[in-house]
Amino acid sequence: MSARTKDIELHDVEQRFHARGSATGFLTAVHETSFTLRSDPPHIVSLVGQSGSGKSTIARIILGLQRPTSGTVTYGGKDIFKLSRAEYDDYRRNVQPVFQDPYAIFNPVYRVDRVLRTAIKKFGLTKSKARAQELMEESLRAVKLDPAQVLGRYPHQLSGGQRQRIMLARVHMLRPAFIIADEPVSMLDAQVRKLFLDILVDFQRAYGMTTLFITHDLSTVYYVGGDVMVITKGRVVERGPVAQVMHTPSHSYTKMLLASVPQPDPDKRWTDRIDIEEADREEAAPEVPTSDPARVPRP
Amino acid sequence: MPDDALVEIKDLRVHYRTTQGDVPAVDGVDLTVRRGEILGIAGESGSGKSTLAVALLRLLRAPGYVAGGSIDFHPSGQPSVDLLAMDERRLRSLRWRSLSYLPQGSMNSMNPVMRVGEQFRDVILEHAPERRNQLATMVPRLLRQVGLDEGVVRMYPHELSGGMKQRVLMAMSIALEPDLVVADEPTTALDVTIQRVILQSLGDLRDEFGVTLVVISHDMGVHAQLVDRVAVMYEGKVVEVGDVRQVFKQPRHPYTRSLIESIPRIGEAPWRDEKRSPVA
Amino acid sequence: MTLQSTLRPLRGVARRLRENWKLSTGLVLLIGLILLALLSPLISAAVGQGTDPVAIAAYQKWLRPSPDHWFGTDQFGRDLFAMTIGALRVSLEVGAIAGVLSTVVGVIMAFVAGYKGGAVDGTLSTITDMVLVVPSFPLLIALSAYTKNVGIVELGLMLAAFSWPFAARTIRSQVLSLRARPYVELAKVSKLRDLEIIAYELLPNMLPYIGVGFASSALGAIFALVGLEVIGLGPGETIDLGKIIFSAIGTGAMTLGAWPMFVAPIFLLTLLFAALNLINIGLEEVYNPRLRGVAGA
Repeated sequence: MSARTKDIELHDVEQRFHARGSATGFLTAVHETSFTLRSDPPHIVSLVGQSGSGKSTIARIILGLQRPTSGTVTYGGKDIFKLSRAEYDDYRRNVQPVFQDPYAIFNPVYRVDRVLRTAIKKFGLTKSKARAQELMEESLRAVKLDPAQVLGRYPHQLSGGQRQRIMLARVHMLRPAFIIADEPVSMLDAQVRKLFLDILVDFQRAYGMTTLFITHDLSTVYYVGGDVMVITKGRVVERGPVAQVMHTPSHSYTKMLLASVPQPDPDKRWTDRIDIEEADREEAAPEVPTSDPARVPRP
Repeated sequence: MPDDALVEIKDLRVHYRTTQGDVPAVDGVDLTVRRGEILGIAGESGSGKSTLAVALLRLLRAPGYVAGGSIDFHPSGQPSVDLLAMDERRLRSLRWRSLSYLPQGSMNSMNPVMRVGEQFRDVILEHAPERRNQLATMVPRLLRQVGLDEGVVRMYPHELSGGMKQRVLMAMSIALEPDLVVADEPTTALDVTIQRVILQSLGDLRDEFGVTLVVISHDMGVHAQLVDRVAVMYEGKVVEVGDVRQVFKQPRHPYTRSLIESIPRIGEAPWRDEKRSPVA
Repeated sequence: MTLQSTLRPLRGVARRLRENWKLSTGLVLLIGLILLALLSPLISAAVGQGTDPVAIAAYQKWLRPSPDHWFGTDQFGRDLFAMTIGALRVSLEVGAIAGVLSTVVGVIMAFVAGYKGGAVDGTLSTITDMVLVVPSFPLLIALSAYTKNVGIVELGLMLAAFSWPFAARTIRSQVLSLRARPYVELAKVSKLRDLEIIAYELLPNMLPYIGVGFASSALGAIFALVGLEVIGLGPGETIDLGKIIFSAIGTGAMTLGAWPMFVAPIFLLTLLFAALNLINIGLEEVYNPRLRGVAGA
């Protein structure tokens, strides 16, 4: 089975955290969630939800950064936390992230090149110095960055949009089968945001990378297209092709989300009033202090 | 002076001192806020819109400094003043009563160990001690105005969600019936459903209490939904100011145009557009 | 890579030094004290003119301060100026040894506990807390009663046994906050091993905190030793600043006009205390953004 035909499958994944102050002592971030990301045909799936909905937890679990309390995540049919050395290498090579915060993603003490060089070294892209340089420059150009203006710089010398595109260049170099993009544009300005999304969609098409696009912003979901899953309070409540979910939403939560997006058109102002109490109920509870998930006993 | 002007900003220049010399953040801004309007200030990060707000509120801190210009404020029933030329003591008497602020990231703007009611009490007694007797009725009324239960009076900030905290601060900002409220990114970092609640409440402030609002936001959707006029800032300058419909429908400045065009809209699906060139 | 870009981080350090007077003043003071201590053999030779100025009965007893003996002599006729500088050196050496030892132990404990988390963290943190609450001074007193004629290294070891938990706690909390940083997660998905993440991602960002940990343990050790010496329970025959103060008290040096015997070591200790604390506070201010003066929006 080649990498391009391996799927990521979530089976009844549940994630609980210790939470002081909640009735049960637990906070369930993700309730028994199952879905499959298929690598063939490559496509975009958006996971849309508000803060505290559990969407970022799902990203961390898929990336193997967090062990779920129960349930399994498999890659090519194997539990990602029980892979052999070779299987682990294959999984890491083919499941790669783009994270939210373009500032915190770079270690402030190193030049930005290090992120790319590490990828080249650790995934054995090439041993030759000249070829590595070529690879970096090629990938930076693919994300519309001028290598001369980026290489050798420190993170604080670049803008948020430039840094986030370096992360895209890293993806371009690695060409994984799956991109897990957790709120990649939420901290970018509108113009850079559009550029970033265009590149992401182009990559997905050109290199056949299945993309899990996690966002809180329905308009960006619409922009990238593909399929969408709506998640609230740790449960996926609606899924389907973007056009269908957006135009004929079936779940009341999806309807409310759609009705809340401020349309950038003064002629399309809201004429009705929102029920404040209902909105308050939907908003995530005030943040409950949670502790290390590693200490949650497995049931 | 136009009769309806509440604030007149004239040739305002704000610079930041850096090791590489002074950098202008606000570079010669002229802007009038009309009494009773909601004025939006739009622009991307680094455009100078937040610096403009803090300068207007005299909250600018080093290394920022005002390099020139004036801000004339015409509060109702009081003599006009230049906010930039006035001393701290006089400024204090204006704060909250005539000029108040709804800060960005309201989550961190409340005292975590004081109940909501006590925070109101502090502000009101500090700036309007003559209202001591009205406190008991005033605070629940203010909270109701922003759609909060009066029980919130007895709660601590950590018991409130982000949207509720934002509305508590909103109620506090109008407690002493100021002429002007400056809201800095009032919906940033809030969920969309709560954003809508905040926008609705901000609109109510003006419609029901006649407060003049200056709303700073990078989100063009917020401006389209809420404001009457919008000023677009770019590299420290106001490149365009006008009626919100005019600015959205017939933007004059190319920057405004690109800003509006770059917003993804639900209902327009670019992914069906095959003209977009794939990379490879 | 140009020389200029290689020097860039150094220039950053230089800029921070210029911008933070506490850090720069502290460093200047500390470097001055260390130079003084390093020069102690030269000073000793210059004062002694071929003889050992701190040998018993090298000079007359209780000489008043004079151009020949700046600080006078003590009850055994030793030159107090040379002796004080020598004692400064001993104090600094003990501090450095204890500081290095407790920092190394603290760093290892903190990194393992903070990075691994879970049960490992639980166990190591409990051990750290237990050592932390042990009343160290009475224990040191008891310990020194059994250890006569110990050298500087043994002294440092003894003191480090009680001062490492301070370093461990400070550093652990930093590791906890750093290990959740996105760049650490990016390193994980880039297949960096745990040790590589600790060495390359965490450690460089921890250096200021490790510096603070070192400074506080060194300071703690120097003063613990002074404390022991001043109450006359100092172990061994080594002469540190505390022992001179003890002699000054014991012999009533002040009444005999030998005031430098009392004032000089206290003055040096005060300088040292000020220097290390200024460095601590300065580093905190420079590297902890919450304490940094907030810049405008």
